[in-house]
Amino acid sequence: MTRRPDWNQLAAAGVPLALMGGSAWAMWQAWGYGIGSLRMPGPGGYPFVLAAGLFVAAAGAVVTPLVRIARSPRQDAATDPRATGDAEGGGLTRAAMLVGVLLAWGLLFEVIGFVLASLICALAICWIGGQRSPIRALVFSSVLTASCYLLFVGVLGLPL
Amino acid sequence: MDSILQGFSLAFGPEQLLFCFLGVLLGTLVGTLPGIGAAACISIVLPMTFGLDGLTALIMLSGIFYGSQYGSSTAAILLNIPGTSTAAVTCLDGYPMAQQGKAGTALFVTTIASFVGGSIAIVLLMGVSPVLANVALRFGSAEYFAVMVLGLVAALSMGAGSATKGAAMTFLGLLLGTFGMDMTTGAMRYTFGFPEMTEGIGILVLTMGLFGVSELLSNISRRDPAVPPAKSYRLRGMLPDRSERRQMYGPCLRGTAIGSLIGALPGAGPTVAAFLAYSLEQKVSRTPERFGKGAIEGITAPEAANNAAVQSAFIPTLSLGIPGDAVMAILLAAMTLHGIVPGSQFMATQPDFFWGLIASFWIGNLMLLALNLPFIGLWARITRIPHHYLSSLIAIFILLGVYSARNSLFDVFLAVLIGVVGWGLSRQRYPLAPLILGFVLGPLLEEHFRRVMLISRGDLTALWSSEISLGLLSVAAGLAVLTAWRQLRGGRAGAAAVE
Repeated sequence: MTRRPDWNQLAAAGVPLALMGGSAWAMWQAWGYGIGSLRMPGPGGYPFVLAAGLFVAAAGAVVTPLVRIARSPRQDAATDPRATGDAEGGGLTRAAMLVGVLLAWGLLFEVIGFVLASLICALAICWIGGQRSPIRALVFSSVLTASCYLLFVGVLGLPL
Repeated sequence: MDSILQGFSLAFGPEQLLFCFLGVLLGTLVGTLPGIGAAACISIVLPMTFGLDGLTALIMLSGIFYGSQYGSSTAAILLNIPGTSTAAVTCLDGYPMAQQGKAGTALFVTTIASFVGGSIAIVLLMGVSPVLANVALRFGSAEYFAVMVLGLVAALSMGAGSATKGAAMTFLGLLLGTFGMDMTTGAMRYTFGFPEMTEGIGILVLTMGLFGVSELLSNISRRDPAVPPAKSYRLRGMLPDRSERRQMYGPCLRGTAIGSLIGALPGAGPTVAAFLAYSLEQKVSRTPERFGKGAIEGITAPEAANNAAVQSAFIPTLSLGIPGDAVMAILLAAMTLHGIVPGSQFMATQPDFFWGLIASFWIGNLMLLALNLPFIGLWARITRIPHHYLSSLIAIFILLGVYSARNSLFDVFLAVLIGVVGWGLSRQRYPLAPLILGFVLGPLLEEHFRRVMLISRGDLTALWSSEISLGLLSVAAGLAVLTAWRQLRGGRAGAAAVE
């Protein structure tokens, strides 16, 4: 038994904590927009109430994971996502790479144009998804890009 | 009567028939494919329909919605993976049937049950919507406010999983809906200094991020599922025998009844309907021990229920303009983007549009019958397409779709960001449906609230001064208390079943 943080519970607590932080910020912003009165509601009144509601709900959701963390400081390796679950085999890494590819498409789009950016993007996703044959990936990506071009530019008439 | 006939003649136009067919075809496809649902598909297709007229676009988009219910049972039965969440319960008895060599029969039975459920619910839709719309003609802002509150509370109390998390997502959705310029005062709210945010977050950007990008992320972080070898299916081998046919009638009708009722309620979608129908069959069965081991009632009732529910879900959306679940919220947004504002006024002023859409549901369901029965082998083979091909296809369509709606790269980056957030939320079992519902209803809720306050000069009691709004708000309050109580006692009936 080694002492190591329980990643599952930390993530379970992290999401509502982030929501609480965000809603606190939103309340502060809404206060600045002007709450107004019931008779004359300002632009900030409605978002303030919603942000307060989000804060309370997120505070409710943070209780269970925090209690679990407090009760069990020791963790078996079994609950570590690196040892179990979908993170096995680099699931998180693949997801991060996919995000990179999507962002790259946005950055490349205006530089090298729709066709090349989409081709590269499709190739990269095939590779991340486990397609190891470059020829198959290339054939598929080319067909995909060409059909998208035909559909969006030819049929739908978008200026790309 | 004239408008009904006119509506039917509209739906039988060649262009409408073509797009109805495309819609149900796409729906069956995304229903069959695990990893992409109707919500993502409708968002992706929506920008491509901007060139069409409103009715044709809606015919196609609705076709995707109910078509996906037919397709979703295929993957559930053959792979033990629900094509969409509504078919999760179909796995329970569908997959055991497939293992016993009765996959063909199971697929046949689910298609027939889907058709019966859908058709009966359409009749209900035709009967109830005009009546409800008539009642809604007398609605003022207070009543609309009350209906929306009820819808939001119902969505989080009947949804799967933790009600606390559901409440958080409802508030998050409502809050996201306030981003951009305030319609009443012109003040900017939460724009982060970006001029692109003046109009707020686009509904397309939000749904493509939440359903498209986050589904991509969760697909790619999983391994490809094991896929069984392809088999050929012949219609003759699929027909249920006499005793199996007799076992179908009761569950089919009970499933339809539950589905139509649940679907028409605000907040409860086809998934809840399917689970309720399944547990009812277990209760009324004389041999409940057969369930989970390939009982034919166990696939008939939920499939009838989820198809009935997707059709009756159009009742509140079309007659009140208030959607019941996430997909209906996207469809409502699609109507708004096409310049159609559903609600009581819409039924009164554009009856031919309403009846045209209804007529297309009949046509679409018939097409689905023809698409699904003879070509079941083809659909079975489609589940074998490797994930990475699908992922790159979906990715390119999302990127292009988001960009093309406003020619804005800002939207592309925003959709990716929303996708990452949505993926993180759904990994922690935060439901995304209440978020979308809140986002769509949020601006309306604020508008009606302000109107009531303006008229009553800041008197809060004006919100429940009429009998209708008092009744609706009481139901909402009751539901909220009940949900909170059950949450404190730990575990809700629906939650246990879904998880």
